[in-house]
Amino acid sequence: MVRQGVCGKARKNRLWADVRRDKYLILMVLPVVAVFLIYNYLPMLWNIISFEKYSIRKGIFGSKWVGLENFERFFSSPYCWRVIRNTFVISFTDLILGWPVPIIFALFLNEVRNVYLKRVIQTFSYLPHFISVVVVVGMLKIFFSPTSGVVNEIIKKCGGEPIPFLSSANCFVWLYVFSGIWQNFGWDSIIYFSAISSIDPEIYEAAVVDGAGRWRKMFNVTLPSIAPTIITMLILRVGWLMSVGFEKIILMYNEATYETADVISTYVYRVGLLNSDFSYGTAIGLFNCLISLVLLVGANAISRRLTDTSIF
Amino acid sequence: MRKAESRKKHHLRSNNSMASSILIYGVVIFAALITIYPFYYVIINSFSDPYEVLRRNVWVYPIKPTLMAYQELLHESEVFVAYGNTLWYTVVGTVLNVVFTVAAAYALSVKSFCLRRGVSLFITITMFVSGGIIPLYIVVCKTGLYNSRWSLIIPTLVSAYNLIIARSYMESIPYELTESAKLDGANDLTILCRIIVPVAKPIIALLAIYYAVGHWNEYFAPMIYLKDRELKPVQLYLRDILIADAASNTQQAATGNAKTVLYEELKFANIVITVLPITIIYPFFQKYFVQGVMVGSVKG
Amino acid sequence: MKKNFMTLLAVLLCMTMLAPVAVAEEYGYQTHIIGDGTQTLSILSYQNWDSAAYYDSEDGLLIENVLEEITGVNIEWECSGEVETIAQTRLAAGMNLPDIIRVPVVTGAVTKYAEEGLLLNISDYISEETTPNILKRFENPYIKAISTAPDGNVYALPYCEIGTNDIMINWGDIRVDWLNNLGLSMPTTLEEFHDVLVAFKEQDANGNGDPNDEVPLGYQNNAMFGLYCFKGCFGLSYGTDMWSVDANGKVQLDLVDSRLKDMYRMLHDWYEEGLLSTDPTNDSNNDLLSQNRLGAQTMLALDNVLTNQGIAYDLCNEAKYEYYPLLDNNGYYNGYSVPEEEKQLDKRSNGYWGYFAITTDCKDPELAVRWMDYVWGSQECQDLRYWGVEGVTYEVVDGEKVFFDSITSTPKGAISEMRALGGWPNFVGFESGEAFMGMFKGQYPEQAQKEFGGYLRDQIPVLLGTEEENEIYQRYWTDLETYIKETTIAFITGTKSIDEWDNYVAKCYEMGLDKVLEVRQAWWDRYVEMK
Repeated sequence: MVRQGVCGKARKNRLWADVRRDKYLILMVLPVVAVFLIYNYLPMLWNIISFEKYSIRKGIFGSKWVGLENFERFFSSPYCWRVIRNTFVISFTDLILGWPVPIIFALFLNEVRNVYLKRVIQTFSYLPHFISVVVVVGMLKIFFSPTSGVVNEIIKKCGGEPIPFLSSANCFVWLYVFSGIWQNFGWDSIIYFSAISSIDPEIYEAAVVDGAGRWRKMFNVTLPSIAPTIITMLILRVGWLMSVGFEKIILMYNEATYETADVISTYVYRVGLLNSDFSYGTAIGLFNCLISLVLLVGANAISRRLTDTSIF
Repeated sequence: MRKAESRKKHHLRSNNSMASSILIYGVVIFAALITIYPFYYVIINSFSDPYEVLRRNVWVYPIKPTLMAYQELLHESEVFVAYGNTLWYTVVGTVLNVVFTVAAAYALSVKSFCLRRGVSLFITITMFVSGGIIPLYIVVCKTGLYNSRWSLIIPTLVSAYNLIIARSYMESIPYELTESAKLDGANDLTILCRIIVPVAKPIIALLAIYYAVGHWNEYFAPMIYLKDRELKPVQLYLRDILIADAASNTQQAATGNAKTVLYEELKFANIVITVLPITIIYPFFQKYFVQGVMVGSVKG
Repeated sequence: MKKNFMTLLAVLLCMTMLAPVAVAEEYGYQTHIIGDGTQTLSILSYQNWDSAAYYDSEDGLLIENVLEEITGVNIEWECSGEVETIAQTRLAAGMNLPDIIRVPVVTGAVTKYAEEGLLLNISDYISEETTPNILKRFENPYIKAISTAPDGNVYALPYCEIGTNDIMINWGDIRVDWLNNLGLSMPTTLEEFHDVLVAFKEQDANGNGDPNDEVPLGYQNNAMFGLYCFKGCFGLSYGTDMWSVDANGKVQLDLVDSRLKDMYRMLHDWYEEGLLSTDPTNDSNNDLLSQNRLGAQTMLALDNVLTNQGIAYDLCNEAKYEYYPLLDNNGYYNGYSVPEEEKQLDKRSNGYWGYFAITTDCKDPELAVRWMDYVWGSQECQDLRYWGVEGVTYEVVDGEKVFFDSITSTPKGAISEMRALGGWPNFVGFESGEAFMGMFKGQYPEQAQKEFGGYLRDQIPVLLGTEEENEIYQRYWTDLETYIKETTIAFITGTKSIDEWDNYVAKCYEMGLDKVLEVRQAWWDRYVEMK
């Protein structure tokens, strides 16, 4: 994206000219910037305590400085690498399998000509999003239970041995990812519907005149038109790789699946330190943030180079 | 001769199109079925006899229908106060959210805006770096919002994620649309209200849904910022009931089996009560996602 | 005349509505013993564990109302199901603290917040005059030990479950009616127990025509990991405590004892034979119970035996769960035969659950201390809160308190009925074991108590550690616990071979077991000293 403003050049009169020209725009972002400054940036100062032995009485600026001790402690924990690895494995799988599904769904549904059917399916598809994680996991346990679950009943009927899905370290990632896709593809596709709805029908008409069939229209018109949205979503998801659904894992995992299921956030939760050792918890949080930022900036840069779409 | 060939070609194509129709309809209908069934499962379970629920017998239709779970959850009039609160947070919150998001998103979508990149970065960072709950709590209290309705509105006035979505949508609005207005001497404020907002209806609808659902489901912020019970939203109210029941089952039992058994069903009824009202908002906004909104305005 | 009468009626009506209903006096309690009815203390605690009766509901709950009148101190409630998170946030921010707070249940929390100056030093107010009841409670060395911080001061009082803990049994139960169906007798040795499980598995124990739907052994407390409770059959104590003290007064971790190697081998074989539930959590327990499919369970609390029966009852009216005996072992998997007099069953817990403290933001600390003294310490208050009000919830027959049927014989269960009236509270409490047993007059728990009560052994206590101790304990024990649990389950399910036992033990030490043992040793030594 080419920068057309000349903000960087610190020539005062130019700056004032910009400000005068953009006064309404500045007015529009001002409240938002203020809110972010107060409620997002001010609390970020708290991250300083990652390098301290924080004391409530002495506050952020008065507590004892310990340097990287909290980080060293995390990296020397016997489970450190396992939880980092699991975090990445789970979220990468989720990204690779979960990111295309809502797009495909939106593209396909867009081809459904019957308006009522289209609306009904759209409404149905986003319903699971509203079911709380507790219940989703509860239902997973019911459906996949080794003793009375439907899935295993079917396996037994077909002559197979029941599989203890929820206590098998191998199954965990798949179960986690697919249940997540099931729960969110409809909701996630809303943004693509909204993008598709802004495509100019004239482009389609032109394509039809050129003799394009359904699939060619889909690939040559719809997909390129919503590409910016798709890329934006991808960049954001890459940035979120480090934040896996903590609550869901806590509910889903057990000692038999720790090997593949234990991620950074669940580990911190279990260590119980977030509860009383604020410095340690914050340090791990900060580590998470840094990796996320690196991923985000990287994805953004690559995207800017390759596709001309970027978030900043 | 040529005619026959063309007919054959046509025939082939319609065969082809038949196959793709089957594929497309098959996929979307499959998707609809796997998403609606669990919801249906929740509903039939919430109306069934608690024992049948616990035995996992309810799969197709409610067995020995009963309203026990609903009586347990709705027996106090307080729940309506809580509903009222939720409604207030959702409506007021969503309106303010949408107004500020749209304004900021438009500003950031103007390519010549001198603060464009800086502010975008400034906002994106907040999605990935945070200080955690405790410092935010301190700031909310210090800005005088503790135990006030506004504590659920102001700190989350704009979601960075939604802002970015809205911004990329507005970037895709054809340049010519605003350019001509500018030449006519309209300022940015006028352009936003007169030109952008009518064109951006799909994204405004999307924002409204995202924000409304967010406010409706919120429980963590009210839990720590609100002290008075009269202010608490319904999510929190029902959550307390569920936790009380879960606790009485696990912490020291000696509770009779009646409660243990009912608990399973309560979870289902809870979803129906909290979720159903908000799920119906989607069809209201759906019409804005229909193709051609923008074109109409371009031509109009 | 008529008009006058109406006015009078209206006035009377108003008066009855406005005047506080002095029920406490009616029931024969002395009122306003601490405050004069105008003072208020704010409390941040759990919501009542009865969703139909909130502590902060408009009319209040009977027992809480009586309590307010007796003390003359009004309680300003702030209740939530998620009090842990809320308390945590406020303490960490040091803002908006109530007068009395439930200190989050995390190792070292009390010491930490006391150190930070957020909790009032109650010791400054302890005297024969202000706190006679607390001092009386402290005559019990155990209570004193768990209430005292390493610096010798008292910052918080534990929610005491000693009363119930002394009689609460935690052991495995079995379907007695299934034994009868199959013509088996109650197993007394581990080997017999195994044979019973095999019979449950292979035959149609529940008599529904399907011999394959029975799940012989499920888990309760601690899920599959809890199977270690069979360590009693291998020369250690039966039950839940992982720690023990040897003859020389040294604290040991049972789960690295080489005698358990045989136990894990046995459990793995049982797993392979299909005797154990394949769900390593206890999530499916209630399903299986209600489906009439569960034969036996491990580590079930006494009061739950009846609940289990109740859940199974609907499908099978004969359903009857009872504890099986502390199983003997005559060489099964190299097990030891433990002489009857040496058999020990661990108590369910340490005997307390969380701490309540007065914060330094409290405007009238002396009032708060005196309130705590009465509510936590006095016998009168304990009776009120756990037995309820005489004539309403119980009566005295031959000098003994007996609950009314309206409390004990409802499907809701006795504790829930009491909670609906504000009894069996979850804040600043001191549970009464006597009242607990009173709920089960003539029922199985009473019999079980007679049978097993004699075996009960105190758990090795967790004390309020110094900051340093807490740090070490937290740092090493959490990882260790994860490792031990994980490995235990791997041994049982066979994902790890038992031949790796030595590696497992070595790894435990490598992960800091020494240091954890040191801390626990220090706690034990301090406890012995205080005793």
